[in-house]
Amino acid sequence: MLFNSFLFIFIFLPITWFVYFYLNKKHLTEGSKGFLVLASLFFYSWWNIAYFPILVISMLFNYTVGISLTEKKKQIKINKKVLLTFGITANVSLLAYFKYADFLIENINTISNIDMPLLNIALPLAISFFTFQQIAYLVDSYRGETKEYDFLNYANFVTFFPQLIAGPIVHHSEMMPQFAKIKNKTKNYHNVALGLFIFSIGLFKKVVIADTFAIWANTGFGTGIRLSLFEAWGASLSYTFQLYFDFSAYTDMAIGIALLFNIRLPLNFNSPYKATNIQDFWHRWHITLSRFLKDYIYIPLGGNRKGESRTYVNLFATFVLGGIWHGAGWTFVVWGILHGLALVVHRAWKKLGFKMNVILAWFITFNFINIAWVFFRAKEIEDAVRIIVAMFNIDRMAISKNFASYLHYIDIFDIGFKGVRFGPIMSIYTIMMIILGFTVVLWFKNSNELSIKFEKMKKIPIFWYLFSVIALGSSLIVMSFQTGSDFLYFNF
Amino acid sequence: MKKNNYILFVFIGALLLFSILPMFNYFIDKHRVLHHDYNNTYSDVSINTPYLRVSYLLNNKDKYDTIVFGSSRNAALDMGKISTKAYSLAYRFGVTGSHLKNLKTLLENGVNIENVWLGINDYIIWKDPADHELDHGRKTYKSTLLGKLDFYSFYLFNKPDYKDWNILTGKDHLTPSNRVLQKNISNIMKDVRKREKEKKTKSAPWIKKMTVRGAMTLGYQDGKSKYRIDEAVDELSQIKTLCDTHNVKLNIFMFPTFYKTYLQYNQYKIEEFKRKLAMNLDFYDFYDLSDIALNELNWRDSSHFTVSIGDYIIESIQNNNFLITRDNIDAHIIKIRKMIHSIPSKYVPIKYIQRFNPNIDISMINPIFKLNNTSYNCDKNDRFAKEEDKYYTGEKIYDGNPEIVLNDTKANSENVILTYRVESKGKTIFQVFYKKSATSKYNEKDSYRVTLRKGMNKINLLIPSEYINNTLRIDPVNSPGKYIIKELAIYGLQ
Repeated sequence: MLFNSFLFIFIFLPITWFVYFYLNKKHLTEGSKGFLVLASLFFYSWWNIAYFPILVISMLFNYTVGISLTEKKKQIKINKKVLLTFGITANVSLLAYFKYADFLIENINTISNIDMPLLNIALPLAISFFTFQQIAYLVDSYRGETKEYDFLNYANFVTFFPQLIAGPIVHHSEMMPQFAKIKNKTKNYHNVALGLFIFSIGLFKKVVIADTFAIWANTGFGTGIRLSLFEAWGASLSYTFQLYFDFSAYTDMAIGIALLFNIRLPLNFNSPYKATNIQDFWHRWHITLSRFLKDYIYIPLGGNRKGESRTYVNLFATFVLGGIWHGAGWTFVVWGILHGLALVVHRAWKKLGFKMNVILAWFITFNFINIAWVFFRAKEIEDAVRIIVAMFNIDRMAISKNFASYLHYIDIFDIGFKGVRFGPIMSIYTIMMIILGFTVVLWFKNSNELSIKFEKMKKIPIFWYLFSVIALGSSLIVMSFQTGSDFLYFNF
Repeated sequence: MKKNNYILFVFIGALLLFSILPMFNYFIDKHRVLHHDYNNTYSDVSINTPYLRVSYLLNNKDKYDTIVFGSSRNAALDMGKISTKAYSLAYRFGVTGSHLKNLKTLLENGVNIENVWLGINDYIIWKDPADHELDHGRKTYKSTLLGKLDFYSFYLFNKPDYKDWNILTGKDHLTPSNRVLQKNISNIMKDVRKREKEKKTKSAPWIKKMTVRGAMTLGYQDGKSKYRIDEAVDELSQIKTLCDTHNVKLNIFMFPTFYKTYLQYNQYKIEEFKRKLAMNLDFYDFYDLSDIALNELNWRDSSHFTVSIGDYIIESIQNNNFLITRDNIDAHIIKIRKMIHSIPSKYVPIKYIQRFNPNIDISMINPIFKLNNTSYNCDKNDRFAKEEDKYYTGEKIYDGNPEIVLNDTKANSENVILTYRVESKGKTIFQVFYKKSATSKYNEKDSYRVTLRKGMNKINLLIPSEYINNTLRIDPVNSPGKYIIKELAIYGLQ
């Protein structure tokens, strides 16, 4: 079930909300928690019931291992280490089987020239997210940082439907206490209003902005299409904006929906395209993933505690793993390598005490991110290279025929006008949307900043009403034209 | 305002904003379904013909006794010749799945029907009727409450386009239409007949030629289209059962198609469909390569025949001609396969080698060259097998490629068809070298290459006979390996 569907907005969400608070009103606290777990499992199974057992088994397994790790008296430390290793291995194996088996077979076939058949396994939805969350839980249980949580609280931590499919990747310590808190069991219209406000922004970002960029991005990244210089930039920028508006929209909607249940999800985006260096970017983009990578990969590898060169290796390795986490393919590996290298370069640069003009720094950072996203989006490395080559190939500097009448004087620079195949990758609308995209990501307050402002208001000005009505109303109109489009991060 | 009010205001405000869309669509109603408008249409916009016609019949239950289902080819059928009370419930790209739904709706809602004529097209074996449920011009009538909800929401929440804008701004106006009411059809047909006759007799030959151009493949993609033969047969069987239950006489007939279109399709699949259909019920078959298909003057375009052919179809059905049953289907298919021999001459004169549909059985024509089933290893030292085969001579090997040089093979027809079926272990090239004159030498420029893929490959090539007569060279493969040649033959006219 998609957040951007009528079924979710008008049926599933209101029913779940009313029943949850009704049960709480009747003091059926355990019943309300159980109901929320069931509703979340129903939400998850809506896509494919076949994945339901995977989620449930994973949840039961990790809860059992986690509880065993927190039992202090009976177990000795070595057993706990074995148990933790077993738990992590089981989680990683599950992920490896569903996500990486075919990738591994393909590479073995290529290297060894044998013809092992592919397993053709469909990737269960959200497996990367719920596996990571639970690995973190096991590690913290081993470290003694978890309490003996109630199973329903744990189940809600894993399955809570607003964040189940594509994050934010939540930490047990920030979620389970919220499910246990009595104050959160009663309707809070302040939170409902804030949730509705953030949800409306997210819905608008997804259905109106991200899905519009998706048309040009999909056309540009379609295999085999030879792009002109402007088309290649149009395609790459379209994807850069699509990904941001799509993923941050999902997060906004998740935060908004969770607020309806008095649950606060962590911040996941903080205007990432305003970043002036790559480290800054990772402090702003998919913040909960960066937090996980830092706490559970970078620091266990030694972080910056084992000397400068080891720090570079750790940084690089963390981001290569981050790339692989996103998907089983060499394009993700290259994307991870690029970001790992960029962070190494940035750290060295900072260490040497060099400074850079802020605008230039933003320009370099943004373009690096934009080019790296090409690898992230492309199906094959050759496709990514084809687009990047086109982005810098002056020989292919051709503009859509639509502009021929306005820009005829530029043909003295050998810039040609040509028909655009398979839809207008670079039309006047693309340019307008890209300008709008830049305006929104660079000059507008992000949804988190807006929600802070909203929260502080005692009296809401009429502009905010109109803003919300237009965001929600226009999104519903656009939604009715669509057959439902998935969020990009559902693939990871 | 307080936050409670904010929630209420935003919800109501957003819903009000959202309601602009259905109100706008209701007001415009370019497909005329929301207003049940039987009399008008906007130019360049398809009204939902099947819906409006079903709705019209539901409001006129005793007006007609014969319903003619079909597709846009029904436009050439004179309803008056079928019955004085015949009504055409056909529409562009009509498919049996939708006809079944419509017939069910009519019969279950008490529409008085005595006869059903059902024209079927080749595309029903790959065109999914479910697609029509997403098509504003074809979505079927719904009787149930949920069905009506789905139907109306489909039109009310439609995305407006430039056409809606033109209607809103008054650039497009409603114009009277006879599509639903079908008044004076016989008189209209008389005029059409007259015009067709004038065209046949008076027009200059070049105008005649302009009438029909290339094939119209109606959504078919060779190798990509998924076949739904069993589903189509099942739908037709259900129509038959439905008619039997309601004592309705059913005539099913397969429309003819222009030969160029016929030659685009997988005829093995169409034969399979006909065979399966004949096992279930009787039908009239006009789909072949007879004179109807071959004569361009019978066609308004490469898919739609003229009224005179429509008359011929109606008379044939009324006289019980062309009836296919389970007893005569095999003989019928063989008869159709034999008709292929007249095809190479239709391409006169071709100047270069062309691909020819590999999914048509041409074995009914006598070959002028044939290599029997041969298994061989293709490497430098191995000779090409079947040396003693009387149909080829002069074969020799160099550079590792086996080659066949057709020294003695001559063609009497203007064009020939080369058929090649080979099972390949991997990717390789099949290449034909030709000479434009008897004295020229083989060279890469004067050759035709086809990439063979792993597995079974079937190629049909239409070749000018002069290439055969100037000694054609065939290189079946260009890389070493084990290949099994199932068929290598050349067919010309007898």
